[in-house]
Amino acid sequence: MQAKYIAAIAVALILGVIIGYLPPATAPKPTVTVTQLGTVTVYTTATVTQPVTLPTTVITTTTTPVITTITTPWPKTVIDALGREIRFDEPPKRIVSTIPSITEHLFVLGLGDRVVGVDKYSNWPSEVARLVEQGKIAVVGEPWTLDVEKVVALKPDLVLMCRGVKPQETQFAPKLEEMGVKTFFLRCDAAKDQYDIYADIRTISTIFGIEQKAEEVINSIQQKIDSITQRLTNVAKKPKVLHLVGPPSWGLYSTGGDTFIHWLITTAGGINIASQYSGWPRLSYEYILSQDPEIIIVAVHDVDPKRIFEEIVQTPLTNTTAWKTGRVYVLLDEADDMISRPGPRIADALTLIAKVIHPEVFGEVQRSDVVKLSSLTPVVQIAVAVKA
Amino acid sequence: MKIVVNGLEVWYNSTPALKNVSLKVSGGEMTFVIGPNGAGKSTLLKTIASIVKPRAGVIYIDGKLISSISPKELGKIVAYVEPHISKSIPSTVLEFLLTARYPHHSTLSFTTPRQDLEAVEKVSKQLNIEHLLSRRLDQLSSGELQRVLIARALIQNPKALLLDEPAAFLDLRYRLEVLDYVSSIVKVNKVICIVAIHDLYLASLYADKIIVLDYGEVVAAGTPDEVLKEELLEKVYRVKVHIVNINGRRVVIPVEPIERISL
Amino acid sequence: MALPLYERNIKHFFISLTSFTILIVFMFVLALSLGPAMLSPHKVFQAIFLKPFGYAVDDSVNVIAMLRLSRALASLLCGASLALAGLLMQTITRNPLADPYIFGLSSTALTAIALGIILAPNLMVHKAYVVIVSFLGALTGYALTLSLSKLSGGTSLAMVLAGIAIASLFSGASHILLYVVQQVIKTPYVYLLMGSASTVLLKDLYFLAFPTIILTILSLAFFKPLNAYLYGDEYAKQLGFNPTLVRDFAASIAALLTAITIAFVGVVGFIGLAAPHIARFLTGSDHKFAIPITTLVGALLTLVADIVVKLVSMFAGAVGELPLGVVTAVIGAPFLAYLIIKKVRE
Repeated sequence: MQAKYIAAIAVALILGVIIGYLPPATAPKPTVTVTQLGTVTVYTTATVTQPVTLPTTVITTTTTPVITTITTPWPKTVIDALGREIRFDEPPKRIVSTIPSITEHLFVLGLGDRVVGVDKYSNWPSEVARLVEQGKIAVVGEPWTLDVEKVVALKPDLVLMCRGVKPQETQFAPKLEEMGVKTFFLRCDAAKDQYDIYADIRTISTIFGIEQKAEEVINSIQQKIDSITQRLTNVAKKPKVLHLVGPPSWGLYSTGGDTFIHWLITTAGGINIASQYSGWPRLSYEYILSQDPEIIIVAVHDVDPKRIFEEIVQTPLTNTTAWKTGRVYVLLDEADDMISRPGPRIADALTLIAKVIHPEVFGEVQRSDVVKLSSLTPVVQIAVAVKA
Repeated sequence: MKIVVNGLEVWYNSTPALKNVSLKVSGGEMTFVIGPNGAGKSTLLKTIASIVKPRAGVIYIDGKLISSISPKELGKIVAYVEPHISKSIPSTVLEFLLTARYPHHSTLSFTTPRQDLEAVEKVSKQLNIEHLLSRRLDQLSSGELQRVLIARALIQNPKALLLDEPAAFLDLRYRLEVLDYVSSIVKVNKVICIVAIHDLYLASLYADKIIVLDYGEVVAAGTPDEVLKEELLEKVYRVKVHIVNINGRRVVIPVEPIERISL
Repeated sequence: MALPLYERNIKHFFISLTSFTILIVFMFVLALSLGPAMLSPHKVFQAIFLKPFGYAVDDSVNVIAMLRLSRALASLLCGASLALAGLLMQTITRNPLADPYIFGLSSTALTAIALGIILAPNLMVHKAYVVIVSFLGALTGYALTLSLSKLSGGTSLAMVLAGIAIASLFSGASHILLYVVQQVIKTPYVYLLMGSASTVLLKDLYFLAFPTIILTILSLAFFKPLNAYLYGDEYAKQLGFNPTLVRDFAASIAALLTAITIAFVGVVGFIGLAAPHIARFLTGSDHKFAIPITTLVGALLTLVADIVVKLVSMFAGAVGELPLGVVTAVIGAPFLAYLIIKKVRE
């Protein structure tokens, strides 16, 4: 009798798990639909993005010019990151960007004069801050708490949004559409490497018909990346890197193997110790100690690195090689922005991370927003004395 | 053993429930409180049990002011049987009955003395609820629960027993059996017993003394012969009654309402 | 009948007590043997049990051993506290669906942490401050609920309703603040209070252990008022117990226990709801028996859940350390379902 119930419960649990896995499996996959529409310029880049699977040292610059020759006349239809077909009769003139990386793309592509609204956190290039101060660009709230009324009041003909990694990030689009505002989704936060970012740049350029400019931007980014990867070809030793989101007291969250930061670490010649996980996994001290990272990168905003030093002294992280050899870096403010925004500055972010991971090749980082905890000299000596 | 109530006045917020109630009850006799719905019967019992605080008036138990007796001490003296208890957290009858012994022990003592269990054993046998001890309170029928509640009060072994509607939900047999049993305990142990009841027939069978309440005031008090009069009951209850003599007792038989509810 | 019945209850109690203790010891040993460091369990036990007697242990082994010990103890203590808090909450609200977070303690604590990170990120870097802020946040939630319920009459229903009001108010507030916090920590949707025993260190354990033990003994000592309270305010009153006092006393103990676990481990759901039910199924609702068994059930469930968390993060890949509350529900729910069905069939 009792075995029957146990069996029933087991069946119910298995059913639950299967049901739980169904929706993502059956959900539409935008990339699949895209490949069927071969005429659309944006996604012909898919052929170019093939090198993704190859080692990053491969020089891909030669393949890019193929794309620049393709231009479609107005009106045109572009497919966004949600797989929607969006029709454009003419290049949009009033754009609202809802996330910093999109703002960065727009300004790098020379579309800055068409931007009428940005989110609260858009702060690069410095021109943005200046334009906001002058009142030429309005601030429309935060990426996840968009002020829909403000957006509508700006009468934009295009709102660029981020598909992101969570479904709730697309929540504002239906509302805006209902009020007659055109929305367009880019991959941005879901980007896993430079090619995803190139795809975003190309998509934007297609919308505005400036494909040539996009290829120039992409070329210059790729050249920078190549110059870094080339210098790393002879480096045999890849140090193990732990990236921590915030100080350890905020829960030991790190970045998994399918994230943009993982790509940065790997491309810069390091090994991300959390690569077996996906997304933003929570680690345990035991896992960290068993992996024994040689470099720890703590990324956080608005925090005094001294406090992080004081906190790490209290934790078992002091048993890692990274701490013992004084290679714990705190990336603050702009440095944090750079590595967490899949925008046009990825080459700079890569340079930064490469300097952190391989100072013997690229030289030590010289930025005020990157602090090596061992360089907090007075505190370190006390700590070393205590340890000894 | 004696309870004296003097000039009692109880208000629920801005509604008066009892007005200038005075009475005397002594041990060994069954006192029945009767009166229509909302007359203040339950309130009177609750005030004597110190569950409701009076606005004015005093209650003495054996010459001691009730407000000067500690709650714990009062728990040993007075047991009030309420018609409702909370059954939302499942618990067995035995667990419930054992709580009745708590006033007799120190709050922090940890053991369950053997005599507690024996007291439960004895009373539950007498009230024929022994087979229910392992059942959960929420699985009992209303009549079974009523007997469990009365058993609880008797296990508490109080000097004053205040029963609120003890006959509710009981079938004919248990109405008579339970009240008969209670009245013999009252007689033997010289316990004070006040019963609030709607059933005038039971009151006329078992009461030594009857108090009639109406609109929070005592309208009559005395022996059944003095109180159970047709004109008084008709005035209080708005019902035509006959009073017949059976075995030397005045038994009330309600006949018909004075005012009919028109359709 | 009463006597044999009572003896049977006592027998059930001792059977449950011993079997849960044995299970806990077994699971504790298992928890110490497992971990991503893949050390030989032999070495770990040497470090934990022989080192105090002068046995030489490799330093790196010792660090891992202490991490495992503190993690296992933290889950035990957290489970025990939450289970006891849940039992007390169910008793004082006389609501079998009550759990330790019914007074909104988790959402006020989360609001406090989010506020702290926004207003003084430099302070909140220190774990000590995170712990203090979330503890005070949780206690503030309790104070608010208590005063609101006093204003609305102080009955157990008023308490539940006040708790619901405070919980919903602050869960809204904390979610709004979390959007802002995301600018400081770049993780998308970080849940600062997701329960995890993995970050508890050995020195934190004192703050978990002493309150748990003392408050368990204290509530056990007052099992009589709690038992009387079960059957209603008026019932407790005429047995000589002040129901308001019982309610406030038990609610304070439960709030204190919950606040401590929130501060050190985070929010762990389900334990506080299920453990009291499981204990009551096994030994009845008499708090004299239910309190010890509830704490053991809670401790066992959380320890097993933590072992599962470890195994998942080691072998299932991709997800990292799961929140404890998710796993406790997955493990505890089938057990609870089994007990319910078994009981109904009786």
